[in-house]
Amino acid sequence: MNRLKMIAERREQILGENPHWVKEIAAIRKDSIGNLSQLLSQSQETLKSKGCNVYIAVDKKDAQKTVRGLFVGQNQVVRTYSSALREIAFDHLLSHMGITVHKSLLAEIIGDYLDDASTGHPFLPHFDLDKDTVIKALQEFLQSKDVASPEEWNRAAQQKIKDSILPCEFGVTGVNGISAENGTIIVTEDEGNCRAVSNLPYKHLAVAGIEKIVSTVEESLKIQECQSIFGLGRRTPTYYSLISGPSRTGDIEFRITYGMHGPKEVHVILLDNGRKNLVDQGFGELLKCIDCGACYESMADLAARNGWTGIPLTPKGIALGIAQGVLPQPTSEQSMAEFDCPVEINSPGLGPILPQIESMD
Amino acid sequence: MSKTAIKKKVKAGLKDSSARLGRSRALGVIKPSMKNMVANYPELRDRLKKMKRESIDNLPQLLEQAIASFESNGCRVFVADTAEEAREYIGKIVRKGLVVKSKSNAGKEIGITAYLQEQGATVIETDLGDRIAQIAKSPASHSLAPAIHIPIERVTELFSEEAGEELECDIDVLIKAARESLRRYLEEADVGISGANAIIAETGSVVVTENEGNIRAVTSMPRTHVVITGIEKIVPTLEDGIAVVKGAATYGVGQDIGTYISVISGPSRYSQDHLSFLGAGQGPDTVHIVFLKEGREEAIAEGFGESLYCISCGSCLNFCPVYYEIGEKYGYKHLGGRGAVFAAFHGDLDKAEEAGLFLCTGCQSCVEPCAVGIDTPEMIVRLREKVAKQKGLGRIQRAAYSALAGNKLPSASGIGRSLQSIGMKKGADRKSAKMRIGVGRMGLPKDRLVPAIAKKSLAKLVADRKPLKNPSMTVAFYAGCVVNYARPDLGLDLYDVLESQNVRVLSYAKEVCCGIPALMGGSTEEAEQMATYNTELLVAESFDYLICICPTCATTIKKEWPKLLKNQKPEVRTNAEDLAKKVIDINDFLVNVLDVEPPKLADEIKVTYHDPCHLAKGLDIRKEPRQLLRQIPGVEYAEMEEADSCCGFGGSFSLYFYDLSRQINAEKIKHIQATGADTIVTSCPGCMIHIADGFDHVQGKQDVVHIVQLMAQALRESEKP
Repeated sequence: MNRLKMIAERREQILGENPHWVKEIAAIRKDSIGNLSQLLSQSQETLKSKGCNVYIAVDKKDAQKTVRGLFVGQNQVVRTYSSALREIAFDHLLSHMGITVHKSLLAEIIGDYLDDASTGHPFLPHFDLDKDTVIKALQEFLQSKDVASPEEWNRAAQQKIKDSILPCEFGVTGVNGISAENGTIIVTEDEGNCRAVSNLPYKHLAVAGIEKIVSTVEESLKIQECQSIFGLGRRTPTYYSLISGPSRTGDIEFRITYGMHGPKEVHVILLDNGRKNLVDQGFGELLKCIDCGACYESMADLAARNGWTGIPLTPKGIALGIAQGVLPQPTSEQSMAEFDCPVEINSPGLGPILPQIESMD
Repeated sequence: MSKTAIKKKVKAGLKDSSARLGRSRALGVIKPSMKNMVANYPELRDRLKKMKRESIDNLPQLLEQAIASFESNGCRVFVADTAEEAREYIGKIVRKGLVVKSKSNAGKEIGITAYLQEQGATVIETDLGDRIAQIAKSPASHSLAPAIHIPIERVTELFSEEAGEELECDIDVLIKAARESLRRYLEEADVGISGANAIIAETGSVVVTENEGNIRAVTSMPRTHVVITGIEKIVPTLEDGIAVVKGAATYGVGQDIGTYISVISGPSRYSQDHLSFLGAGQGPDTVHIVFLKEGREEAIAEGFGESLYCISCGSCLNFCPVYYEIGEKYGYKHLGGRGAVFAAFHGDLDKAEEAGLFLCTGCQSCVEPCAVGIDTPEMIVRLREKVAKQKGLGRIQRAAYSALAGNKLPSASGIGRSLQSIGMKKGADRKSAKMRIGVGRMGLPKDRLVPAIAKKSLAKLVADRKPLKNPSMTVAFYAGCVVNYARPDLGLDLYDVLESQNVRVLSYAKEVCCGIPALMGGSTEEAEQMATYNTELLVAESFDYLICICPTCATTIKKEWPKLLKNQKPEVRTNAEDLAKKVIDINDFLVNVLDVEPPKLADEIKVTYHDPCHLAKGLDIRKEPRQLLRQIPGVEYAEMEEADSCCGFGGSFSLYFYDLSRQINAEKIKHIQATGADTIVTSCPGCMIHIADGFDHVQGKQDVVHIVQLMAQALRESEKP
């Protein structure tokens, strides 16, 4: 876990220079969860006005139904690494449909060649691998052993990923934020695979938990900056992609036509799956979570004590898991007070809340 | 030299009617949607202006901060003092490789495409419009819709040739073909070159916005990404950068936000530290940031930093009457009036003249729609002054301005009248005339209708008028040259209207020109003389208001005199400021001071109203004339489209560039005719002259009247038994 310590140190340094962040983010999250229903209907409207096809999925089955409908006739799709996709068991569904799913995040692909890669971290597939393990995984991915340098392996792997993206008609991504005001989807990343997946194929499907909706683009970017600082100890993510509808041009006789360089169709699934219920029952506090993973270590401990696996180890992930009946009732309590939580989910504390959630349904 | 060059450019621009049609089509869509969208964000403009002003004021520090942030993000930064340095640096990166490029004003400024092609590289434009223009080898007709003038049939031919197969003339087929062909280039390209809408100093980020997705592809598919940007694009924070791209979408095309905004902070990398030894992920492994200085520091040092607030949304062009007629011929590297201003710094004053420094009509149409509120006409006037100082005025100009300054018009008009009776023939209305032998070079071709010089000047006509006995108020009347010498009847009408309201009018036989022609011509010295002389003349007697029926004079008194006299003795300055407070347009005075109830016209007429630029945009008087017209019994009022677009007069502009001014006028005439009005009312003697000329060319029978004329006519008719 020394990688986490390193991240924590960098985080402290950045925060030392910019102490105002935490307060701002906490306030934004509080407001957006407080207005969730209103933001949901607003963004449904604005996304549509931008030319997106919008689907509200009340639960996992509902979302899967939409995916099934969209993917009729496909034999392969490419996707990014996303907790929302895991939440609706995307890969499982597609394998049942006989559709090949290409992954695009190299870190996740590497995980496929490790014995135990499922870490439950909200946006990192794994951490702290040694070089040899990484190289070995790359060799297996490329089904080749003649190695000249790690850079060359890397280049070959990225080329292989690009080659898998290009022929796909559908690119599927998660979402880091949605601006209700503009109908804008925001995707944040460092590798650049999300840009490729959301721009190169003819169709883009984005799946977003409804707690990702905030009022403005600026608010969403602040949250994501904060996620990078808390989760990675880095001031700025390499790429933000703000997407407001399908690619379009008016360059021929000023007639608006879609699908110029980017997708001709953009589909957005807004996934409720127990979230509104959590808010209605007074557990909105947990949905303030921005999936940064700053509390990962403690959440992992909590999960281990309760025997929880297969969900993102964040307050939100755990709360949703229990609310949806994926996780068993907790047997031990955990206070959030000691964590570096950027949105201050420390009151009234996760511990006392968790046992109550289970009885909600 | 530069005068001949610009005349040639104007001629070529006026000839290209297909490009004009393209602009007309694009602007017909963009302008209304822009106006609607801007209304939703009333605070955006002020926020942007403040932020850009502060950024330009702190540019050296921001540049330093940006360089440090980019370098800590792993970018390679190059600061180019000149265009040449920038070209050489990029040239070394590209060599003979394949480049995919997205739209970049800075790239266009340094001529990067031609430079790279010359050294053997292949450069592919990826924006669809730019690509069409590139294949067609045709210059862009509009910055945001470069190929709008090329009909779909021609695009089909071009793309069929490119694809090596006969394509169907169907927009979806063509878009698909373009996508596939450009995608192949994108996949194979060595280098992607993009511009930047904003550069974030704090985080070392490039912000770009677009609708097509080509910028996303250019900045993510090749392994090397080169960003070329003027240093003026740097803003402090990401939030500021987002405001810039939202502003560009709102003001440029009437979208609340562009379809895509990409924020790029360095080369692609792995999120996890333990993977960083591998290098880059799916995006470019090398990102070069080329900062271009090229004249920008000079512009700031010489007091023209405002020109660098520009966020390149193109809104000013969409509202500019000159750009509408001649397109990209107006400007140099950067388009329009702002381009002309900028040419003075990355070129010289000759370049600025060649770019069209003297093409601006001063109509102010670009100021309000500017996303950052740049006052381009004001900067243009200051540059014209530099030109006049550096090169001196032409002989004719010098003589004209000194005549205006020295109160020589009374004698000049006497001579003029004698000459006029020989050289010109009177128009049907006796108030206008045409040359018997045209002097097209001086803006007086044979068929141009100009005002005839009146028999008696206003000063003579009112000399023996009986004063009011117990006036409720005294006002001064600054008539202006056109009224004094060509249309004194308008002055008499003003007397009639005001005296009917028991307002005493003072007028001045010795007033001289307000100074605007000299100022617009760059001759500040003469303008200052005129302002000084007039100020002394006017303050001799006391009055409550200073009335103008020429809004150009009113704007000059209000805005220019205090500036012109700012270095004079304190009492002169105070007097000028006092006059600036007292000056009022006749519409404003009748509605807001007197609250008049207009009298009835004998016969019903249908009227439309043309907003003079200096009244509507200069003094923000728009509703008052309409209110008056609607209140006159017997008037049926019809609003025309684009009522506040310039008529094309622009004072001496219409002498230097008569053909251009006439074409701008023709557009105005079209809008007027569409209303079916038989009387065109306006509030400016200059606009009246020009619109009357415009109607003469289409054999229109409509009357062109000043609002004060109509009021006086109603007054006379209602007094009749």
